Amino acid sequence: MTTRNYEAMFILENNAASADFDGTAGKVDEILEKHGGTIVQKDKWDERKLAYEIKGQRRGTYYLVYMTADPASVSSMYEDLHLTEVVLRFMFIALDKPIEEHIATTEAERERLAEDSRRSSLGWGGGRRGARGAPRKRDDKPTGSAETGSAEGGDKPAEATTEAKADDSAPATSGEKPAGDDGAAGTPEKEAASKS
Amino acid sequence: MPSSSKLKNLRKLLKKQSERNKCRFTRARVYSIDYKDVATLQKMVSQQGKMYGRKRTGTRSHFQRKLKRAIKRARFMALLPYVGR
Repeated sequence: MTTRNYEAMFILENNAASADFDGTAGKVDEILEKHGGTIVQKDKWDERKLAYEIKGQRRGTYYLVYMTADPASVSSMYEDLHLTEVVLRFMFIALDKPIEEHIATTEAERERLAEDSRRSSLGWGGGRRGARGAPRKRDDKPTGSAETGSAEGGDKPAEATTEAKADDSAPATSGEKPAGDDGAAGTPEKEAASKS
Repeated sequence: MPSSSKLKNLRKLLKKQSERNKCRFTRARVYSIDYKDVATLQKMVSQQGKMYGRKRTGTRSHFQRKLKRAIKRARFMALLPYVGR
C-alpha cells in the first residue's frame, strides 16, 4: 500500500462549528480515519466571512488537517464528505514533501513574503504610478518654497490621478504607505538626477 | 557634464529601481505559493478579483504559474472571490 501526504481543508457550517467545534470536526476526522487515513495534525484554521455564499452560508469555519493516506482511498473519502451536511466544501492537496517540512517551509515563506512587502517601497507588484505618486506628494510640500511655481503646477494633475487610482484599487493604497518611508529618502536623489 | 557624485546617485537610484522591478517571489526566495496566504494573493488580484498580468507585477513566469494555481485554490475555498467584491 502506498501512502501519500495530504493537506485537507474543510469549510464547516458555522452554526454547528461555533456551537460544538470538536463535535463537528470529529465527524470529519471519523470519515478520514474510517477510510484508512492517519491524521498527523489538525487545527481550527480560522472563522471568517466567505468570499461568496456557499449553500446559503455567508460565514464559515475553516478546518485544516494534515494526514497520510492511500491515494486509492481518497475517492471514497470524497463520496462520504459530499454526503456530510456540516461540510460546506473541502479540498485535498497532495504534498510533495514530508508534512513537518511542508508546514515549516510554508510558514517561513509566508513570513518572508510579508517582510518583503513591508520593506518594499512598492508594497505591491510593479505599480509604477503608485510608487512615483506617493513620494512626489510628500516632497512637494517642503521643497515647494524653494522650487518655482511651475514645478508645482506640473505635479498637481499627476497627484490627482494617483489618488483616483488609489481609490479604485485597494492594493495601491496599501502600497503607498511603505512607499512613503523609502520615498522620502529617495527624493533628494531623484532631484539630483533630474538636474543633471 | 554631471559631477561624479551625481552620477553615483543616479546609479544608486537605477540599482534601487531594478531591485524593485524584480518578482516579489524571487526576492523572498519562495519555493511554492500557498493558497492560504490571502494577504499576498490579494495583492496580485484586482478589486474585481481578476489576476494582474506579469507586465504589471513583474512576476517571473515560473511563479506566475504557481500563483495561478494558488489563486484558483483560494477561490474554490471562498478565500478570494471569483468575481466582484
